[in-house]
Parts: sequence; structure tokens; C-alpha cells
Amino acid sequence: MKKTKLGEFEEMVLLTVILLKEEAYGVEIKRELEARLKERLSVGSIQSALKRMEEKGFLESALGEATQKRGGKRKRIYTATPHAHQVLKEISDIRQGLWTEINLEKELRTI
Amino acid sequence: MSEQTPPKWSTRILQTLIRGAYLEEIEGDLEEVFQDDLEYYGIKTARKHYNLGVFKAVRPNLIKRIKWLYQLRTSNSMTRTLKIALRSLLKFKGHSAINLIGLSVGLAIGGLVLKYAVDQFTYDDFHANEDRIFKIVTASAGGGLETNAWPVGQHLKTNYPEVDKIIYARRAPVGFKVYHNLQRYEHEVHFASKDFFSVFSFDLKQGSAEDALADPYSVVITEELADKYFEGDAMGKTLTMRDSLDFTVTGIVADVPNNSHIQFDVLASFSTLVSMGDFSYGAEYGWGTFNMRNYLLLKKGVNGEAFQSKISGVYEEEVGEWLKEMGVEFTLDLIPLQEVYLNAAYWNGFGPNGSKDELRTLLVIAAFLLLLACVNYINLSTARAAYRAKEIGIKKVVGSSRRFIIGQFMAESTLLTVFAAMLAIGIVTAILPLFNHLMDKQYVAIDFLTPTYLLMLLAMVLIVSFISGFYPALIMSGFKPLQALSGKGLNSKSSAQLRKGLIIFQFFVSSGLVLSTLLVISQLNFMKQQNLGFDKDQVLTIDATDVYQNTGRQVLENKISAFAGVEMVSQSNALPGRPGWQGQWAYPDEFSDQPVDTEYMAIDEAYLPALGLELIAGSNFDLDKPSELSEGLIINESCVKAMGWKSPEDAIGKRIVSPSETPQGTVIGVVRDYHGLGLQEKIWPKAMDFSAETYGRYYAIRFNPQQIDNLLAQLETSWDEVFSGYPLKYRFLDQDFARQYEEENRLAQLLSIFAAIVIIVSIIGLLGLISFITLSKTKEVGIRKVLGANTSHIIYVLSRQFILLVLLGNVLSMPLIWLYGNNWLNNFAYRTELNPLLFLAATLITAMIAFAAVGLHTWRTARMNPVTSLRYE
Repeated sequence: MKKTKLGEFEEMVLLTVILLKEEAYGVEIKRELEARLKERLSVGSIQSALKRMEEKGFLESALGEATQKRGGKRKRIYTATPHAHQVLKEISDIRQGLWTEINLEKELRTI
Repeated sequence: MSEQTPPKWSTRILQTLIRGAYLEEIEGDLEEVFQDDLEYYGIKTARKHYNLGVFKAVRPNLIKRIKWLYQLRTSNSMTRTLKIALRSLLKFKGHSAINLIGLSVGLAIGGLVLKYAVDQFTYDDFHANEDRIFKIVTASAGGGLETNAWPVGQHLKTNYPEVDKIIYARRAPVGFKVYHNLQRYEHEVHFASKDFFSVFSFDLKQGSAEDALADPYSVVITEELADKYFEGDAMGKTLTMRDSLDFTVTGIVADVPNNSHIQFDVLASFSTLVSMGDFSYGAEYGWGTFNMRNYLLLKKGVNGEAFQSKISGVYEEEVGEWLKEMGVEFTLDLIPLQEVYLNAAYWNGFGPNGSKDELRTLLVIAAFLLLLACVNYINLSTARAAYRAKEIGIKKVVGSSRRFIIGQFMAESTLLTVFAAMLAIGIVTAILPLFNHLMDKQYVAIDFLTPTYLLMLLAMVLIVSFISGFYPALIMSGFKPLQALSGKGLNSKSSAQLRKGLIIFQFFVSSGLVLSTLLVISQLNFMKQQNLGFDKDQVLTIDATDVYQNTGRQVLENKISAFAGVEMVSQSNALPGRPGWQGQWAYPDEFSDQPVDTEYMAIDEAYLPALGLELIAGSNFDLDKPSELSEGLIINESCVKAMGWKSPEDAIGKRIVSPSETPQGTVIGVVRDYHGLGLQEKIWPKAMDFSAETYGRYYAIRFNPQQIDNLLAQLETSWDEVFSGYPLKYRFLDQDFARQYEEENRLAQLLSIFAAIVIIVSIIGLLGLISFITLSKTKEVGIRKVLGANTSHIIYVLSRQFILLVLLGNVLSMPLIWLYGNNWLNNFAYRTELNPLLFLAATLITAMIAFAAVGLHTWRTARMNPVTSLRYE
């Protein structure tokens, strides 16, 4: 049960991985998230989340190409597993449900 | 630093800590971020972010599985190891307490000193151009000047393409007070040229770095001042200084950080001085005026040292002839920005200097203190090794590896150190105010929470636990199982030998510190008790520098003389603690070519009696003898000697001439030498004339102590009547003069505290050891008693060895302190001699404390009833 749980930050990272497709590696994910969250993130926090999700089976990865800028080190490109997609769908459904309820309530309050 | 790569040490940390499978991509990611930052912010910030990135990347799930740690976790589980460690710590409560106290005090002091050191070493590191900024100073054989001749900056700028920017700066004269709502306020005011904010990275909140200091009569003020005078809305407003000069606020800068050697509240544009005619860049005679502070920004890629050797001969090239005539030699020197603060050779004109020597002393003492705490640990654990033999033997028989046993013991020392560290946090919080007071800092707890500092603390804890734990672990894990179980031949010679050595070392350090403390205190007492040659009690001084051009000075003097309780009022340009004009050249007569470097003082007829100076020949100024008032000079004994006259009487009637006419005239009196500047300084040849009316800036009031309260109240009223709007600054001369010894006082306080702590830590360690050894000799004592030995003999037998070790430590420290002590004392013009009694006293102090501790313990054992002691075990 614990293994399959998805933290809030992990969820963000996971969504970003799906968004970035073949560009989904550490720094690129960091850039994308920083732009969206409007705050600085550390390489460590992203990597830590990625590794944890890989252990839990939300992500798969493969080594990609190396660039000059990376001092000759290769990138690791992440892709979401079907399991991840399924969990995300569930989460999304639950939240959607909640929001709908809340909207009803809001109408009540305005009266 | 010029290489455009991430810091190597940081990368290495990453490589050792991060799991192999993850390393490549994390390293790559950090490198990529680094390259981006490099483009965006420059090398310095990029490196900083990189370090921070590494620090943040060290997370539990990314760290390597370290083999032995992993083994501990899987085979025996970390918690179990810790549980065993805790249990054995609790089993020897006394010893653990001793170690805990020693280590926590050591860590607390070490942590504080480390904080102070980090603080001192990272001064000025917030400037983005840090590597390219240098302070230009004028070096000479006689020690050099912090400032340069006027044209130096301009010369460098026009003739050397390596120079990017040059800054001119000068402290504003005393009169530059902010004048606001009819009141005058004192602030740190400096003049600085246009490029100041493009060279230094002070945080300019409003205004542009390029232009804020461009026009004459523009100022940049700190946020604090903007709030104080303009409710924050200061841009474009007018700030009046020196009563009538109006400056426009063209910039607001964030309050200057504490770790900047440049401190200011107001920066006025340097072009103001130029337009006031007080300075011209191309000044023809400027090569002779050394009062310009210059900073230099080199172009990118220029090597500072190479450039330094290129420009060092500028004085020689430009005005070599003239300097030769003067008999002096000057060279230009560059001080890298990072070294300006801790460079004691050159005074820092913008704020206080730090002292490298003091820093080094503190670090050494703190390191010793920590080491002594470790020594306690080693001594106590090796001493009780035999008692733990059974435990080790059984573990070995059951099949534990040596490495595992080492791990077990190391876990013990680490656990204890971690506890000590927690305790240390409490101690630090408690003594922070005292530390701040001693070091003149304003630390608060939150300052300790920076990543760099915390990492260093962690390193300190690890090193300490390693030093204390490793040797005992090595010894004990090396026991052969059979030996260990039978308990024979375990107290090995070598570890007993080591213990002795360590005790000697402990008392070498302790008595060394006690000795140094006594030395400083004795010099301090010497200085305080020395007859200074003037009477500093019952004299009130007023600093009237702010109003020295004001005609009201005489009015005030008349008012003061009329107060009840005032015996004498004098005006002068110098008082004890505040020198007159030093460095004035004077000759014994017109035709002499031997100039005497004199201190010129402007006094009046009341000066000598007000300060209790003693005339040894001739007479004081007499208001009824106008010729003596205009032509007469009163000199001191040193001046008599320097001028080459035989005796004070011989000097009367002789003429002194001076190119600057101060001092000039005929000698009418000679005063006994007095120590106007404390005993660190030699007594200058002094010559005083009767011209307080022109040059007087201070009042000295000799009063009757019975009417003092009244006096101050009257003084305040009269001052306000005459100099309304100016603050009254008064001091008592004795208190004022005592400030001369502030530094020595502080040193004495610091050393006393350290010496006390160090000796306590050593003694409790010794106590622990003794209690243990006497315990193990209980049977021996019993037998001796049965055979007829008396108590004192037993005490002697038990403590002899320790006392010898303590004394040996004492003796060993003596030559070292003798050497350093003499060196230190040589900084003083008037010094006490190294008294052998001092060495005796230090030995007595340490030995007495040791005797008391050792004696008490052995006495208890010696008094035991032999029946009980023989039954022991």
C-alpha cells in the first residue's frame, strides 16, 4: 500500500515527465517545474523524487545522449509506466469529484 | 579561481556519497545547471549554487550504501548497535559524564570559535568582482601608509590598459554632520568616486550604479538613514551637511552588511571635493599628499601579482628624485580584497580591522580544548579496557569480526559525541551573550544555521568522535579471545605509556594557558600601576572638535570657571589619550641639519596644573608676561634629550625652529616625561606653545569631586546656551585613559576564561583516571595497610606518578611560553620583565589543583578499612 502512494511533489514531477516526453530528464524537469511553480528547486529534490518513483514502479528510465554542457555525462530519460497513468487517472477523478461537490457548496453560500 | 569549472572538492563529495548508478546523471544535471548559471550570474554565484546543489543532493535515497554501515544494518541492525553502545555508556556513568562534559564544552567553544573564524575569513565575499578588486596602498620600509598620493589613481588609469576602474575615497572631515531640524547628527560619512557601486556589489535599492555618485553634491544613503530622515521616501530630497552644504539624495543602498570591511551611512560624491577645490586629480603638488584611499578593479583575466610587480615602482619613476631628497622610499602595493580586513599592517580607513593573530590564537586554543576532551576519552577507555575484556572475549568467541567490534566501540564514541553536541547547543545558547560581549559581535542563534557552517560542525563532530574512539577501539578489538576471557596481560605497557604521554600533554596545555594568562595580567597590571606622570583623577574632558572654529569656546570656558567646584579649566589640542600633532619636524637651532620628530601641542596657562604635570625646570606660561606667551615653549624631557641638550636647566633659553613654525620659539620650561598614550607607545618629544585659542579642541576641567552632580547639570545647560544643536561629549579622563588598555583587557579576559575551562576539562579527566586506578588498586592498598603502611604513605604511593606527570607537563610548557611571552611583551614600549615567580605561580596553580583532586581521591581509598578493601571484587 505504502509503495504505491504518490506524494504531492512526486505527482508534480510525474506529470512533468509525461508532459516533456523524450525531453524528460533531471534538469529539464527542474526547469519546467520551476517555471510553473515560480520557485527554485534543487537538482537533489527532483532526483530524489524520480528515484523513489522508479522504485515504486511509476517510472522507467533509459540512458540517453551526452552533451558538452553536461561535462560528457549522459542524460537519463524517464517515461511513465502504465501503472502511473492509471494511478494519475484515479487521483484526477477523485479530485474532480471533490471540486464538483465544492462548487455546489459555493452556490449555496452565495444565496 | 579563474577556471570556469565547478569546485572540485564539491564534485568529489558528490562522487563519494552518491550511489554509483545515479551518479552520472546527477553529476550531469548539476554540471548543466552550473553552465547555465555561469552564463547568467558569473563564476562566483555559479559555484555557490553548485555547492548548494551538492549539499541538497545528498539525500537518504540517493546516498551510497556504505558497506560496513549496510552490514551493521542487515546483520545486527543499527538500532541494536546503538542500544549496546548506550547500555555500556550507562554502565560507566561517571566516566561517561566526564567525557560528556569535556566533549560538550569543547564542542560548544569550538563551535563558537569556528563561527567567529568563518565570519572573519569570509569578510567581503559578497562582491561579485571579488577576484578582481584590490586595495592600493603605499608601502615603505617604515611600515607604509594605507593611503596613496593624489595622482596615483589617475596615473594608473591613464598608463595601464589592465586597469578597468579606479575608485577614489576619503573619509569626510569631522565637521560633516547631518543637519536636520536644527539638530546635528553624527554618521559615517565618506566621499567616493563615481564607480564605487559598479565595482562593489552593495545592494543599491534606488538610483543607478553608474550615475548615483557622478554629480557634485549628490549622496547615497542607507535605508536606515532614509527611514530616519525622510520616512523612506528619500530620492531627490535634500540632505544638509556641515550646516550649509546641501546634497541631493541620488541613491538608497541597503544597510551595509556586517561582514564588509567598508562601512558607511552616507556616501557623498567625490566630485563634490573636486568642485569645492579641495582636490584636483592632476594636482601638481599631489605627489606629496598621501591621504587618498584607492581601490582598483582589474580587467578580466589580468593576473594581480604580475600587475602588482609592474606598478610597484610608480613613485620611483614619477618622483624618485624628490623622495630621495626626503630620504624615504615608497612603492605601490596591492592588497587583494579578501585580505584587506585581516591585514593588520595597514589600517582600514573604512571601518575596523580584524586580527589574524587573535584569530589564530583562538583557533589553536579551541582545537587544544577539543583535543583535551578527546584525550580524556582515550585515557578513560583504555584504562578500563581490562574491565571490558570479558565482553570482547565473549563476542569474539561467538564469532564477531574485529571490524565489527571496532564498529561497536566507534558507535559508542559517536553516540557520546552526538549527545555532547546536543548539550553543546544548550551551552552555546547560554554563553552567546558573553561571547558577543567578549568578541564585540552581535550573533544570534539563527546565524548558526547556514549550510557551510553546519557542514563544518558536522565535520567537527565526526573528527572528534573518530579521534577519541579510534585508538581505544583498535586496542580493545585486538585482544585475543583467550587472553581476554582469562583477563591476564591486558593492561598493555604501550597504552599505559600513551596515557602518561597524554596526561603530560594535557598539563602542558593547561599550564601553558595559565602561564600566558598570568603573563598578560601582569603586563596589564604593570601598565595600570605605572606612574603615568600626570594626574588623571578628577579631570573631566570635553571634546569640542565639532565646534573648534566657533568663537563661543572662550565664552564657555568663562562660564565653566564660574561653576562651584571647578578648580581649573584648560583648553588644548591634545590630552592624554588624544595626541597632538605628531610628526612635526623641529631643529635645535637654525643651522642644524638634524631634525627632531616632535609632537606639537597647543596649550594654555592652566594646562600643566589641570593635568598635574610636573615642571622640572623653568616656569609655566604667565599671563603677565606677554613676550613669553607669544614666543615661549614648554618641552618635555624626551625633547631635551632629542635636541641634544645636556640637562633640563640647560634647555631653558634655547631656541627651537621648525619649517612649519609649529613648534617654534624659546624654551621657558621643561616638564617631566609623562605617558600620554599608554605604555604600549614610546614617549614622543613634545613641544607646547601658548596657542590654545587658535588650535584648542578639548577642554580639561579639574573639579572637586564633592560637587560633581551639580557640575554636569550646569555644564549641560551652559553648553546648550553656547553651542545649541551640538551634542555635548564629555568623559572622565581616568575612564577615558583606561580605554587605552581595552585590547589587553580583552585578551586577559579571554585567556582567563579559556585557561579555566581547559584546566577544568583536564582535571576532571585526571580525576576519572585516578578514581579508576585507585579502584583497581584497592586490594594493594589493603595489603599495604595490613602490613603497616600509614595513610600519608599510601597517598604518596598512589598519587606520586600523577603529580610527576603534571609537573613534567608544566616544565615542558615553560620554555615555549618564555619564548612567546617575550615576543609578545616586545610589542610594548614599556614592559614588565618575565618574572620567574610567574612561572612558579603557574606551576603552583595547576599543581595545587591537581594535588587537591588527586589527593582527595587517594585519601578516601587510603582511609578505607583494610577488611573492606581486601574483600573488594
